[in-house]
Amino acid sequence: MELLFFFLFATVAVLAAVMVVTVRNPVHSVLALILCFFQVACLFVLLRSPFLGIAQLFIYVGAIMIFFLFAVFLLDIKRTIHQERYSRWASFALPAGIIMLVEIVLLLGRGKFGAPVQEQEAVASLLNLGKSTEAIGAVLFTKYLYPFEIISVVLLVAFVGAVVLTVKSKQED
Amino acid sequence: MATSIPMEYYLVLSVILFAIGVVGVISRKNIIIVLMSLELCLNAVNINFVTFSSYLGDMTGRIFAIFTMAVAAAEVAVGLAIAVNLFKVKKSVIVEDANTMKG
Repeated sequence: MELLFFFLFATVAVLAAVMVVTVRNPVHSVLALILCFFQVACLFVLLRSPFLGIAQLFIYVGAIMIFFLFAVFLLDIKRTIHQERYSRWASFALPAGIIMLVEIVLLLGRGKFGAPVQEQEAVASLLNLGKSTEAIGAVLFTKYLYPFEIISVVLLVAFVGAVVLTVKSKQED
Repeated sequence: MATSIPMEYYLVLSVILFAIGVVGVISRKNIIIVLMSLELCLNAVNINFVTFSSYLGDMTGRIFAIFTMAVAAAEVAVGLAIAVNLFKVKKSVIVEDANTMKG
């Protein structure tokens, strides 16, 4: 049963990802990427980390993709729709992607990944969102407190940088 | 509650999504689509992190997935600001039009 759901989510995710790369209209591309992120959130729930699934929905779908939608609306899509979609390196892209895919899958095939999911106390079951969140918080705010603070500074710098980039160009006009 | 799905399935899915993202980054002209393909790559990496975290019973992978999400958000903020500026300067969202540094 779980395998069935995995294949459902995986197939839709891959199809949506292919649509992102191939579709002509950027708005359709954004919508396909949202669909793909939804499937990945479902896969996170299958992987027994519901907190990350919710975070995926909030951060990727709720924040990042809305960003992208606004950017697509701000920049003119009407002109780009009728232009050639692919750059002149496109003929190298597909072989490069396929070679990479085959190489990594071959490497995976040589490895041994037979380990089953270990249900440690900290990793909660599917039905227990609270416990899983608690476990992540307990590790994040003790062992990884320093990286956590650094990543918050990185985010702050990035957002201040984004504001500076857009405000400065306004003054020049 | 052990899952019946072999670990390789998740890893192969992650590789496929990453490869699609790489193809998109190389082949598309529109800078917004290039950034979106980059997001696809980062998300594939996230699947990898969470898979190993879940199958090895270690929380570290999940923490790193959260860090990856934060970095992705930062990258999108700066990247889209640059894209908007590029559009203001060049009146185009085509990557190949940003060729001032080309000899």
